Amino acid sequence: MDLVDQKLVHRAKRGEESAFAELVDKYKDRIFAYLYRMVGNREDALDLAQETFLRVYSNLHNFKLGKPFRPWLYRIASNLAIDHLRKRRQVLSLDAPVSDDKLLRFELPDKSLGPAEQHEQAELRAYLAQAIADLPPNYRSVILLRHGHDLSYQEISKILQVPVSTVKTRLFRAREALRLKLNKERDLWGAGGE
Amino acid sequence: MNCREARRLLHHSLDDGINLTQAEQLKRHLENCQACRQVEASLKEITQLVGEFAVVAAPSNFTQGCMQQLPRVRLRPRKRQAWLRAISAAMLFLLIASPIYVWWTLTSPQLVTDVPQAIVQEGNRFVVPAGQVVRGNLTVYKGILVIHGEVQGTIQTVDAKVELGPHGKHLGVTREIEASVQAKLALALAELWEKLTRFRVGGD
Ligand SMILES: [Zn+2]
Repeated sequence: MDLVDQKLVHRAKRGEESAFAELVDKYKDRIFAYLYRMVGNREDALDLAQETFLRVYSNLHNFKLGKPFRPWLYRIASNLAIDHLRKRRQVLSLDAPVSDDKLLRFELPDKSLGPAEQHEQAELRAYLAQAIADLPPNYRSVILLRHGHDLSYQEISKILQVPVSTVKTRLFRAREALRLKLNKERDLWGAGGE
Repeated sequence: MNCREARRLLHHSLDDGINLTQAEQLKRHLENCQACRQVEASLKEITQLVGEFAVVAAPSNFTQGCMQQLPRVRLRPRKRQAWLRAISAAMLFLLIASPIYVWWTLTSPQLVTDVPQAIVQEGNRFVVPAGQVVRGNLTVYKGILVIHGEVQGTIQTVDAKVELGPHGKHLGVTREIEASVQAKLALALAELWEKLTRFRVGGD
């Protein structure tokens, strides 16, 4: 339990806007990063991040002090992201049948920068980013929450409203999928004779 | 331990952890298995990189932008909200109810008195029971006043009758009022006023 969060929430509930600003400051980069990885572009991620904090604010009176704040925050962000992806898929499917995994495209790093090793590391990151984007949203959120945001099985189960066993299964499959994909990429590089 | 089991443990060690015996067995397997060592390395790499993805700097004016949007959503502590809801519900009730109330008082038998507890209502009959003494005035509307006890003040009747029981007494005068609209309205207001003031006393 994060006591700093509890104090800030307590003050914000009493109407102290400066306390709420501190909460936003504390979590904005993480929430933005999570939403960016979930929806795949900065503009949408920024809008959703702002909407997340506004919803937190307007629902502060429903938040019981003594409950952990972080999972609640991520739950609001996750719901907004999933909703957004669902709506976007509907809009796109009107024009052309685009599969969900083709929607997220992360830019590859600029190859002109840095020495070879940094370059290889950057390329690996880019491939992993793309591999994560290619996962179905349900799997993407689980792996991001667990290894990016350090939330426990139980917390993720509450955030996504699924049983702990489902969280475990998805996590296992997501990691295996990423691992196999990266291995495949590496083999391709090797065959390319780099 | 086979590779399948080893890989299961590798995943578990990333989450809820594994016990010492399992860790020892896994270690021994990894020493002898190149393929599983590679899996271990890949998983470490993946979790580490996902960790690095977790922070992306939001624009520097992000917090300010959020705070400017706050008036749009307005913080409302639950207590005050409940209190406001109760007040507005009460006002709405009064608005809807007052014409109904006046209409109701105009169409049903009424009795206005300073001492309502001394009188018993049975349908359209208002009964002053035997032994009961009413010192003040009474107004009866659309009903029958039955006196078994004693009434000392004036009795006004509007579309109403007075019946004296065998032992009943009325020491004052009886005045009959024509059932004009004004008389009915005055009666309704008097009744309402009586109810409100009684309510206020009861509420304190
Ligand atoms: Zn093995």
